[in-house]
Amino acid sequence: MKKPMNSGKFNLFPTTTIALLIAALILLSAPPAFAQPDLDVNTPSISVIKKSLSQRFAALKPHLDTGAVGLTTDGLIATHDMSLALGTTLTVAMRAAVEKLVADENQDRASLYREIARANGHPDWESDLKTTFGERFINRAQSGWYYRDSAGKWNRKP
Amino acid sequence: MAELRQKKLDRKRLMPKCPSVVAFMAAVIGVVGVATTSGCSTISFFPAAPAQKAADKVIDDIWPAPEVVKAPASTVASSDAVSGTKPAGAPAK
Repeated sequence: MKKPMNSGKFNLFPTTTIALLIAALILLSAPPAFAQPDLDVNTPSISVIKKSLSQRFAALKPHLDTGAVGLTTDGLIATHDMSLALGTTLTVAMRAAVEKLVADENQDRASLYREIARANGHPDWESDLKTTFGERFINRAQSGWYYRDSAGKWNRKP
Repeated sequence: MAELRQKKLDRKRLMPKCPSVVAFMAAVIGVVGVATTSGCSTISFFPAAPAQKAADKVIDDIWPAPEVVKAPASTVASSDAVSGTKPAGAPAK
């Protein structure tokens, strides 16, 4: 007596279903595994930006020390109180020089965040990177430096 | 012959149900797989902790640590030079 064909019907479904469910689970859990972020990435353009930031710091530090320039929560810097710049009366030329320093620094910082986000294949992370770097810059700022909080209020690091 | 016909009938009875379920699940998995691997998926998380570490490393690079004031050098060598005596381990000429 031959076994009827449809007796396998009840075995086929659970096996196939379980196999497919396992495959689905593997697929759904896979993305984070193959998209490991490397935010410490160092592409040639990132190295150039970091070198530029490092070289500018010597010129920027006196203005951070006096409070003429301060840090912001979005990872950039801004002019705070120009009258504090080096304790002197600022000429138009001196003011322009400080403003150029701030603009150049901000351009480099914005490029840095953009490049790190791009290098990780997530241009959408740029905003989060700005906030994270801004928080770390303020956290690591030296005593006496000014920073502008998210409410727009200037504070001095104790 | 009758056996073959029976087989065909059995297959017909089984197949209309079976492929519909399997094909549906395969299609779902295929769509999810293609979407995630091609980057169309909206699965995106910002790794906050690695970002903070990366930020600290960048800050270390661009903000040099303040110079530590070095302790004054020992005056043993100069006093020896004045007195004309040699340190114990000094090579002989």
